[in-house]
Amino acid sequence: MTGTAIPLRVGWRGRPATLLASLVPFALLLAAWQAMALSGAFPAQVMVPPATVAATLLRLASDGELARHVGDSLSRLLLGYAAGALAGLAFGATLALSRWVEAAFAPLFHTLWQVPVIAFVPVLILFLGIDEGFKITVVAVAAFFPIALAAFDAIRGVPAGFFEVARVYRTRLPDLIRRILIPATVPAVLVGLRIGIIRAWVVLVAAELLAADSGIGQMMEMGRQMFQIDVVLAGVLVSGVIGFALDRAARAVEARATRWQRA
Amino acid sequence: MDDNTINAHAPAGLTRRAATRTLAGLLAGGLAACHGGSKGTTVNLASIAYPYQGKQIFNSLTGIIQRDGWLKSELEKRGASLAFTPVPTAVGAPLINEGFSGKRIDFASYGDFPAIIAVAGGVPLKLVAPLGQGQDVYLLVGKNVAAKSITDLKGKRIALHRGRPWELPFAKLLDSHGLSFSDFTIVNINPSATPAALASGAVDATVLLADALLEEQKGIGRIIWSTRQAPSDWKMRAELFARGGFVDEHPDLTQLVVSAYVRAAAWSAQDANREQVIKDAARGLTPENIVRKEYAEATYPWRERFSPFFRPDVRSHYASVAEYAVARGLVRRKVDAAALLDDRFVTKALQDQHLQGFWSSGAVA
Amino acid sequence: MSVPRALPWQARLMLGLVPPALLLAWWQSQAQAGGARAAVFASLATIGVAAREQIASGALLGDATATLTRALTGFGIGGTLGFAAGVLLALSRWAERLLGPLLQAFRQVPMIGWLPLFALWFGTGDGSQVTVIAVSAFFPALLNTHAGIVQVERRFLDVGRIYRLRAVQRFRLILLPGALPLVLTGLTQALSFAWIAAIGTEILLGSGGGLGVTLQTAQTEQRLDAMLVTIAVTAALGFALNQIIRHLRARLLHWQPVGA
Repeated sequence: MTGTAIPLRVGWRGRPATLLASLVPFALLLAAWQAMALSGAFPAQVMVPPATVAATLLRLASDGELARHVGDSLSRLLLGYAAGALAGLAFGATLALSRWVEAAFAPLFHTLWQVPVIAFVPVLILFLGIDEGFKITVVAVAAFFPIALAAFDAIRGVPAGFFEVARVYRTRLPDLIRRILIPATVPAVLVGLRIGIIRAWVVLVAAELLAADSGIGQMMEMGRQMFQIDVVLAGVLVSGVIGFALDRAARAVEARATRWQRA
Repeated sequence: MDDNTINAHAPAGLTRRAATRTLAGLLAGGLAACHGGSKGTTVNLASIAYPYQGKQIFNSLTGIIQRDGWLKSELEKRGASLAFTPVPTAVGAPLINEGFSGKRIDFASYGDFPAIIAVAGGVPLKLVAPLGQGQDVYLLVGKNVAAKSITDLKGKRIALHRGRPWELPFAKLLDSHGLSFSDFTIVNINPSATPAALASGAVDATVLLADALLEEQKGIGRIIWSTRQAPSDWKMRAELFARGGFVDEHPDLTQLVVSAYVRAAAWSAQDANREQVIKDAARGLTPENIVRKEYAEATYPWRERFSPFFRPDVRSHYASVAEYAVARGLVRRKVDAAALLDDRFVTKALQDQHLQGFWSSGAVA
Repeated sequence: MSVPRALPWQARLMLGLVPPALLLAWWQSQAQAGGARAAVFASLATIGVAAREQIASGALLGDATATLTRALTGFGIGGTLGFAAGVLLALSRWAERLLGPLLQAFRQVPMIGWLPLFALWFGTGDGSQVTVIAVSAFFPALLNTHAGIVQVERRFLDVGRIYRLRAVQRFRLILLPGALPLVLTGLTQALSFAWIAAIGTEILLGSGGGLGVTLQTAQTEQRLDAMLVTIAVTAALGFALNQIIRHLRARLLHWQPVGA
């Protein structure tokens, strides 16, 4: 349920030849894009050539607009994510440790989990308005569910045998938690945290598309309304790059924290 | 597909890139329709539609055309068919611009500013039939906001859906007071999300069309300014626009569509049909009493509300819109307003229907 | 401290009903509080009426069918392509070197960012919607299929070679069954993403019938009761889809020891 997939190998392991090899597909894509734009099959305002998008990106970066939008989006992401992650971890752990709580809340949790967060947006706008509170809440909700699920699965997944060994060795509670529970649950929880932040980013961009006064999603929506497709494409690029960076960072944290597993 | 689909903007020397051209052509073929004469052509009309009884309906001239059936049968006589594209008001004009750009829409009854945005962005359009005297735009403030004029709102949050026609009268208002967009926090949300935002205090004010009257009636806010207090050419206008390529390729079909709109306008202009027109306009989001109120406050005769004449004030309105949009940095290129307006079709339609004297050829408002 | 024992099913049922009941009670009290609250909270009675209306007029059925069709079509296309791509990338180093980075990069772009572009290039008809849905389903299927094949232990393949099995046979008899658990995990995720994408595209593009379209329309009309009914149906259908695929998975993997 948490999608513990081994990532596709992208790293270059320090060898220039492989680094170059991994850039080839992008170069090919750019070339194909440029060719499509020049061929005239699509009108210029629709199939914007890469050069124009690059120029727009530079312009937005130099007049500070890009920095403003990215800054706003990222601050909302971090605040909402922190809130959602804490709540998710607490909720998931409680659910895993108490059958009563699980029986009471699991059905509701699973039902709400099925509704795409974006479907909640119109309702949330009604309740919370459209300023920062709304956006941070949306992000928190998006992060909450996968993280809660991961925490629940992780704790439930600790084999009963571990506890028996602890009893045999008469391990005290703090040591039990520190030396057995945490290492046993950290890997799965970290995967959940990573999925949570990616989900949160995607949902944030979508919420900004619908209602905001700044942010990457809003930049793209304005671009669409003003029929400046190069701005839309620039936004797509930037949001993709940020998503990529977040994913990489999360994986790096995961790799460091679980390096004892692969020793 | 055939060569018509790869449009004439391709640079010379293209024949060298045979491979990319084939590939692109295959893709474009999936996109564009064949334009070989009238036979088999589908004429696509778009307009803003409102939810009513579970469907999206047109509640103005486009609705009349749909109901009437004249245009449909005339097109069928020439082997063409008619399709309608309702555009939800929550999304609005950007969808129409995208449709024009992708050649999926051939005609649209929509607003001045989005059309200028499209033309400035490189989509060739023609204004083939003006529709009426324009609509009023209102500045509505939340009921707990103590502002009496736009200057009182300085530094506050204003909900404004960008790229929609009512942005321009608002921009003119700011200009006339020496203000600019950066003096406020402009929140870009669509008109459907706006009432909730205003009611909850998330925004302090908003710019809307006649739906502002409804919100005032519901007690959500107060109107502190409208284009009624401004020069009459500040009003936003909506007209019938046509895709430039379509007009060039099918002037005969274009004529039919324009004639259909003139017919619908003439029908609506008659006092006998006034009640029906009001009832039609009330389907959707604005209740009947608001519609009546708005119509009652007009300063011109009933029939002029539907005038398709290319009056001098229509021409100057578009000149000023084009000028304004580029001066304010809202678009990147200056649009040639004179080239945008194409009065051939309306002239012929008025002749054919013997309506030359029906509407005034000078300004009335 | 040990893992708690399971509770009898009667207790679970009763407990499971408590939070929803409390939620509904709180909601109703807010709706009746009057004033600004009433504008935002629609009373349960109104919601019930709205639900009856939608069911009776057949709108609900039509919407659900439309959304389900799009979601399942997109899932079928995206899931199949994702599976195929996963197999390709797992078995061919060149394919992985060439396409891997590209796919990773595209995966990171919020799906929602593509929508305006697709709307522009391909119109807002079912075509672009299904495309976005298919792309959403593609990536989980791809990643999990790839992972599934890659983690099949070498010694199983070696056994296959000792028995002189041809490559195709090795694939069918060893790789595929070994990868099946993760492949099915991927397809489960893909279905869930497809459902979410179906609703999302309908909300953003707003035309052509469907639960998301009704949701957006209800927002335009400021009708919270209709919005909530639609959300409830969305949740129910999503839940049902999820349950179906989980049962399928359990049946297909019945040969696995429990807890694997």
